Formats: sequence, C-alpha cells, structure tokens
Amino acid sequence: MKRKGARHITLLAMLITISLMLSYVETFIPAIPIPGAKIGLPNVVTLIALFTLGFWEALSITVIRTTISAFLFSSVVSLFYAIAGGIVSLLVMFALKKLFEEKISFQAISITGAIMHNIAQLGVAMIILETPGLVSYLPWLIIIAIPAGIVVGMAAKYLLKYFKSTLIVKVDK
Amino acid sequence: MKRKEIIIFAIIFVVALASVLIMQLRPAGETKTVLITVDGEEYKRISVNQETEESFTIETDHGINDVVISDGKINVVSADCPTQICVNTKEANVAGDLIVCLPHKVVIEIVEE
Repeated sequence: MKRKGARHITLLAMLITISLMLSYVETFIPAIPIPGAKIGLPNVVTLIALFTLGFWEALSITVIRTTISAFLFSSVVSLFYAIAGGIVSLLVMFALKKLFEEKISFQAISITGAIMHNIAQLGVAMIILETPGLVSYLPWLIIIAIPAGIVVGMAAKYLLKYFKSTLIVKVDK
Repeated sequence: MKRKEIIIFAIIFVVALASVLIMQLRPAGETKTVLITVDGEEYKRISVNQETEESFTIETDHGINDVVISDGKINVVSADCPTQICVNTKEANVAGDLIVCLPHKVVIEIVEE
C-alpha cells in the first residue's frame, strides 16, 4: 500500500478547489441553445487527477466538486446533471486510459470525455423531463464538446508538464 | 493527437454539423401543435397556425414563464428562473423544436404539423 503523504492530500485539496472555481466560471459561459449544459471546464482537473493521483481520487474530486457547486451556485436539480456528466466522463476517460495506455493520445481522451460529459447530461435531462425529443440537441452538444475537449486537453497537458518538472510524479505520458 | 483520432473526431464533427443543418432547413408547415409539458406531464396542447396570436403565462410550482405565440412561432419572452436560458432560446417553429426551462421543468415542443 503506497503511503499517501501530505503532498498527496494537499494536491487533492488544491484540485478540488480549482475545479470548484472552474465550475463557477463556466456558469457564465452559456452553451446556447441547450439549457443548463456546461462546456466542461472542470474536466481539466479530472484529467490531471487521473494522470497524477489516480481514479479514486479523481472520483472523489468529481463528487465533492459537483455537490458543493450545486449547492453554492445553482439548484439541486443541476446536481444530477453535473454528477452524471462528471462521473460518466471520468469513467470513460479512465477506461480509455486503461484500455489503450500509450496507444491513445491525451487529447483524444480529453475530447471523448467532453463528449460523454455532454451526452450524459443530455441523457439525464431526457429522463428527468421525460422528453425523448431532447435527443435532437445531441448534435449541438457534440459540436460544442469537441472544441471544449481540445482546449481542456491542452490546458491539462500543459499543467501536467509543469507538474512533472516540479513536484508530483506523473503516471504516464 | 494521432492521425487516426483526428479523422475519427473530424467525421463525428461533420456528421453532427450536417444533422444540425438538416434539422434547421426543414420547412415550417401551415398548422402545428404546440405541446407544453411540466414535469413530464401534459400542461397545455395548442393548435397553432400562421395567424394565431396568443400570449399566456405558464405557472408552475417552480415559477412562471411568459409565452407569446405569433407568426406561427412560439417564444418565451420572460421568466423568473435564475439562468434565463429559456428566454434566450430561439423561438420554436418547426416540428421537433424545443424550448426548455430546466429549473421550472417546463418543456415546450412543436409536435406535429
């Protein structure tokens, strides 16, 4: 059992805080015309956590971040959308990383995560509102998710490079 | 990013773009039915044509949405929800168009023509 020191916990806390701030910032970026859709900025943190701390830490960050931000910044209903989006995209990104390892690029993981994040949010909206017609939003969400995933991936990659050269051990790439 | 991945994502993007364009270009019919649901249950169903002029307020436990129908289109003009996304959504006029207010659980949908 690896000893998880103060550095680990501090990084975890920092990442939670950063993802909370990103969550707040993205409430100001409307993904028109889809109601309540977010472009997925906190995925930067999810990616970083996946490649430095590990899956369970990334999961904790996601759950804590969505819960707090739902209570602080928006309604309780949005909690379901955010948590579904966060967890699904985390699972998909982790699966891709585990399955393909070196054979998949960082950007591809990020973009797929962003797409799945939006699809999950749409899915939850369709269930809660009992409106299968919402599926017509799917192409729009994909169009938004791809550039968002690219930007998020670039930011995360840059940050990971910086982390590697200063303190934390990176897992791969 | 590897070349194979770029191609895959480019294809997905183009397909999505094409779907959006196809949906936008469908012509509007003469008469259509507007279906408003609250919390998944039918709230109001109205037959609308090019001459219909109506405005009313959807009142739910969560809040109010003011709706105007004119020129064969329906639009949310104001609401008391925090994010105002429903107000900013383009008016609905073609079958399949949707205006949604998530905080109020209101869905306005053009159902058939």
